[in-house]
Amino acid sequence: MLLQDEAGQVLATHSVSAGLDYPAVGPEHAQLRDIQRVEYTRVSDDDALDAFEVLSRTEGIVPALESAHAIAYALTLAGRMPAKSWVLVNLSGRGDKDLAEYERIRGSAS
Amino acid sequence: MSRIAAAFERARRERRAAFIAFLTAGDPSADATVAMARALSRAGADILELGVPFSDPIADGPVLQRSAERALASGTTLGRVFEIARAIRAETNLALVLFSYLNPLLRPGLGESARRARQAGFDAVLVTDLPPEEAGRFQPALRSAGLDTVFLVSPTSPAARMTAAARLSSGFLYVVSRSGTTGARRELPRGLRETVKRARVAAGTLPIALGFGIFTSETARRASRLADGVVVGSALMRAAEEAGAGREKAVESLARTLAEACRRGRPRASS
Repeated sequence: MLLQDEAGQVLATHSVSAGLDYPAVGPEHAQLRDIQRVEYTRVSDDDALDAFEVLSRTEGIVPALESAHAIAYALTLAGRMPAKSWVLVNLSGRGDKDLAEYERIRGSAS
Repeated sequence: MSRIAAAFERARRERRAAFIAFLTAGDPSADATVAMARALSRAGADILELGVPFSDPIADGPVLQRSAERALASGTTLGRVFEIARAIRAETNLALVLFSYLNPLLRPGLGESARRARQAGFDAVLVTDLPPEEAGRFQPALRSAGLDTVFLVSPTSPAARMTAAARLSSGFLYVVSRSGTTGARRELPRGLRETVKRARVAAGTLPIALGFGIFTSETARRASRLADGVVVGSALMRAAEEAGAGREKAVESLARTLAEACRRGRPRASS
């Protein structure tokens, strides 16, 4: 799967997270989506940065900005789920690498 | 005999290497490309590789990257490339190679792209980022449209891979002189003779052309001693870039020295 225009030219992408700033999706994810095994969604830069703060403050875990997208969606989803449900989030990376980017956008962490 | 094969045959009879020039189609405009192709033809080029500009040109160095950006900015689509080819076909005897990354050809469907390319007057197609391992599904669609198919081998290709690339190729086999991207180098790489020797074994009777980093008439002369054809792209596009409005003359003058270099490298026919 490639983000492309009608002529087959690759389009520019944007994400606050460098790991997500990429115009293609591999065949495994494409297949998982096609067979409806996985539902894929989106999260804004702003919500990801909020989630980055929330997890850092509440758990003392600084998530990678990539993983912060998952936290952001988990927070949205949790509000719609029955009480006492469990939500499992895969924190795929740590966010110390992203502190400079966070501070650039949101200012110094207080 | 295909126009590509005829070009190599003519060069062989004249005891010289075929001079293969490259232009990015549509840089800076369709008309300019046609004018430069005419200039190349006058200067003695045998074959023209017409590059489809691509947004993600992984094989290209800075000169051809800038060139592709300008061509895209001027609105060069695959359809436009076909129009340019049609004009060049009508005005010159150059054999024409469609030089493209895979995705722009895949988007309309490879069979459709191949059919339109042939109609436009292309004689061959070279897909830069189509490795031989993946080519089984694609090469027949190109060949059945009546196009020669050219594949690339490099100094890092093992013998089996060279053989696979040669087996998929017709017209000629393209030997990339070095690892890395297209563009200026001062000298030909060490070990090139060995690479060419290995490519010859794989190619059998198929002609081989040497490209990537051939920038001066001196390197072109040396390359013409090793291979049946010599490809020059970045040097021409840089000359065009630097000359601006005078690009047609600049390209013609450089092409004349390169064509001469392809001649000088070979021993004269004994009479």
